Amino acid sequence: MRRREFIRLPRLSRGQKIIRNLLAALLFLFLLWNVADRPVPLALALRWEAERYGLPAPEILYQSDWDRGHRREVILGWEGLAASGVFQKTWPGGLGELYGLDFQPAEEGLRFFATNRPLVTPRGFDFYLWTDTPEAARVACQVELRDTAHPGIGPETGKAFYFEETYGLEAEVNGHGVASLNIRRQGENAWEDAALWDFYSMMFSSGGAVYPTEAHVTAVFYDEAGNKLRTCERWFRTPEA
Amino acid sequence: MRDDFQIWVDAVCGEVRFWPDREGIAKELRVHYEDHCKALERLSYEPDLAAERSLRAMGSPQEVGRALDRVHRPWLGWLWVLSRVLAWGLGLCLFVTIVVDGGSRYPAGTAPAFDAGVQKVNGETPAGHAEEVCTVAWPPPVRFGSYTVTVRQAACFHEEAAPAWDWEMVLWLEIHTPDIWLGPCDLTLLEAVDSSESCYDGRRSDWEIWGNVSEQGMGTYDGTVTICGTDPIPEWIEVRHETAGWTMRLELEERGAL
Repeated sequence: MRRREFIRLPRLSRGQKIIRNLLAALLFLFLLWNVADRPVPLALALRWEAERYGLPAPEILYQSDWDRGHRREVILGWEGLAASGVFQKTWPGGLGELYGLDFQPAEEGLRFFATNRPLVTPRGFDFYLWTDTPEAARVACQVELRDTAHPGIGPETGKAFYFEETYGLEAEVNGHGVASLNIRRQGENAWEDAALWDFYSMMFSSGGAVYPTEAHVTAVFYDEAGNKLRTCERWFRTPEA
Repeated sequence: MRDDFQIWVDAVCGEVRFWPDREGIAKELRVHYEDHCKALERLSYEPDLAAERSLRAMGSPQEVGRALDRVHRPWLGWLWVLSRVLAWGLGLCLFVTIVVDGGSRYPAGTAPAFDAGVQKVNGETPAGHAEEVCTVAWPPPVRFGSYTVTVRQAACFHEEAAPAWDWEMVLWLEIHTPDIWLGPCDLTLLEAVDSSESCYDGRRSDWEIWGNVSEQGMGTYDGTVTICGTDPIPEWIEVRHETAGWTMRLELEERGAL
């Protein structure tokens, strides 16, 4: 009876088997990491994300506290450019991923970044303000909101509602010029809720939508001794066609 | 006598500190012992005598055990066990992850990235789809950082169903990077300008210019860029990425009146 001839793989020694198994484990680990969308520590995530946009590694201008232990907001800076984003851990205690980068075009003196937190409600929201004013330690911010609404349905159809409110906010400025501010509704007014929501939406750099709200922000920066350093203004309104 | 062999094997294995290997060692020694017994029986030895002689030929169980212990070192043995657990465990995790993920991750180049209705350029238009209104000459690959962006196909169509614009141009891109940990490059921050100095700004309006990238693949990705505009069709359009700074110029040649 003829013996079948099989192709025999060389018999590996125990040491060779160990190397083979460890290499296979490394390969599987790498593939798992890739399938999990490549979670990494924050600094590395920022560098890689910047490279996707053709930018060098950014300077971290601001990091918020951990939100529910696994999510924090970051504001990043480059020469003439800045962006806000969210860094989220893929699992508690693990590595993380960066998403939701919103780039702000270069504007002298003052930039606004809306929070990306999912808890934004019509009652108000947190936002960030950045300045290149040296020695700024504190900011006093005044926000004037104006809104004209025309309900299209319901008993108020055809009427015009005019809303106007001024908010006074204060916050400390960190070493990179970023201050975290908090704006909240003053009463129980649906028009105020809508105006606040429009103000929040207009902070994102992507445009295109039309908002009936306009906001005028005046920010006064002070040094540690309380001396006034600089006053900046910014209008948020839908550009005319 | 065969019980004597079992006693002998137990004495040998008692010297081997790495206990997971003891069963394999005992098995191999038994095979060796039984081969020797059969060889002696073929030489007309009585079975009991063959067994006794074979056992004596195996040698001192303590010496054999110590020699085997030097070969089956505990630290190497436990490292081997660990490597097996790691390889099998991670392999199983990977398999489960891919299966649970719905099998939606295609190897690079196999994903169905093309819209079935727009599969050609500079040639016949499939029946029932938008009319192609001009030919598009696309540029050589663009390079920035570790990325290479190559236009694989480009087409410009007249879209009757869209009231806001008259034509739509689509670029199908292949994006490659050897730094596979980076993921695909960004195609959201795009702007463009054409020969009539019209500007297309994705921040200002989503229907002017936008891009998206497939996350499938490792190091190679598919992407599309769509630009919509009004008549007349320009002679050229230059697409630019706002932060990366790369540009791509497309020459358009109108085929005929709409």
